[in-house]
Amino acid sequence: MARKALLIIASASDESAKRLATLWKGDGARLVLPRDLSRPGWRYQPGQVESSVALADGELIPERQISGVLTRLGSIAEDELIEIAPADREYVAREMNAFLLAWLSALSCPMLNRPGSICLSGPNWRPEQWAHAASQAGVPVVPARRRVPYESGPSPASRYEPAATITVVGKKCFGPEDKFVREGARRIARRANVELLAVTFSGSGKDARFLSADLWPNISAPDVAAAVQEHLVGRPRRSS
Amino acid sequence: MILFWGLPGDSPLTAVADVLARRRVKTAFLDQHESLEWSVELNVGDSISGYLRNGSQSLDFAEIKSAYLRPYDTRDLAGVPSEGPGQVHALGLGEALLGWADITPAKVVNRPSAMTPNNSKPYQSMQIRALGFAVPETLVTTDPEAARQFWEKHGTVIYKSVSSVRSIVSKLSSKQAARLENVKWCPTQFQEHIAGTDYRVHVVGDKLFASEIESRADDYRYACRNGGEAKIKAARLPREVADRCRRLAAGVNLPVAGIDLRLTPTGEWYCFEVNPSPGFTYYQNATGQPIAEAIAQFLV
Repeated sequence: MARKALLIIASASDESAKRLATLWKGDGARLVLPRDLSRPGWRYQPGQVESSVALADGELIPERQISGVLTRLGSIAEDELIEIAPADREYVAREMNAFLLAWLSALSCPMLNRPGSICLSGPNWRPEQWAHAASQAGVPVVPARRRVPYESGPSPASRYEPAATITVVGKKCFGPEDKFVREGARRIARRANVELLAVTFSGSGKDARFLSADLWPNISAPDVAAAVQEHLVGRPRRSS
Repeated sequence: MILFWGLPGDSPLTAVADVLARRRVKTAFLDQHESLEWSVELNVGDSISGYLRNGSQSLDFAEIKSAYLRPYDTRDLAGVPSEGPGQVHALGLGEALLGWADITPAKVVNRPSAMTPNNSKPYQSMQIRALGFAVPETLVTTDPEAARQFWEKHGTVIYKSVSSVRSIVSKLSSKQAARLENVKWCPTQFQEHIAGTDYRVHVVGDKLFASEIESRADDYRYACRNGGEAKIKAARLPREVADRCRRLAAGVNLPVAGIDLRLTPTGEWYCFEVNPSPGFTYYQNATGQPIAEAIAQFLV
């Protein structure tokens, strides 16, 4: 039986992704870097995702071998495409993003996070949209304020010190043992339809208020990394 | 009050604004060329509040009951500096308006989040298929051999951009066979060619305007460039197809949509794309269909 592959889609400069790929080698972890989209072998037919083929580390990977996908970037940046002629980089980056968005959306394997309609790993909302989503989820919020021209003084949110950051991984939460902020973080993640999210609050307990959310939390802490691995491949394993 | 955002020469914006002016409906126009003259404050917590201001006007977000948005990429505007505080100002104004447009209870044509699927044609084609239309068999690949096999299988294939970058839809010819090697540098989209007659269907709420296009060009939008022509006339769709168009527009959360269909000689209806910001005046001018009236009515 062909060996399963756990794909980590990341920037070439993402050291954390490289460490995870090494740590999860036993699960067939492979980095997919932007430059891999400029190699012959990718194939995807909408409506026939089971016949699609990916490419990582120079190896062709049929869809059936992909056990899970961790996406560590929102989009492919043109400055990563150094093998492409400078005049063509913006176009090629847009084409790569459009391709990845469609292909990732079609995959049925576990994925953190599933793409949104414009971002490769979730909704990529503006701060105002996160505050609105948190409020709609019934979580008290520190109002998000945007002013143009930008004000030089402190923003209203800066009056509130970040007190707790909860990292949601599927059904698990990491961070302070505060049931109010944990439940708030879960609700916001559900509202955003994501399973990997860091949510920062000011205050604690019933006084906690939503401050910000991050689709690309630091997942290098061993317990968080193990939860991500378990989510993607079904069970945590020791690195070999 | 109804907010318009875009450029003054934009034909669809102008057509709808003219209808509303005749009806004496209160409107405000935020000209992107004048982005640096506007300031904005947007506050979002348990409620949404804020304002847009320039030297002579102050618009309270709470008073905006509907909006028609056709903004161009701020970085492409002649009046916006390519760097520095001026560019930051113009981009910030755009971000505030796009953020507001996605969360406001006002009626918006169209909400930015509903427009983004159009940035990936294969992604949108899966939405179209899920909502009941046939879509052409498509391959996106960096593998020249896979592209050749797809071409052999279908005999005639077309290629076009994967993203929303505007590209001229072209048939793959034997002259381009050698260039197929280049697909290894960038995912490239190939599609079986579907012979038939093109239709553009504009859905506005529950109203529908269909036009039939007669052209020999691979991409009728560019027929004149190649010495060809495109004749457009008003058409009627079978009721079932019309209903499917309404369901499609509603399913992708676009109260105003331009749907590209093709009817094959055997009577099958294929859908190629749902345009979330249709340049409907091209069709309105040719057919006399009151599309601007319908959009104005929807906004009121």
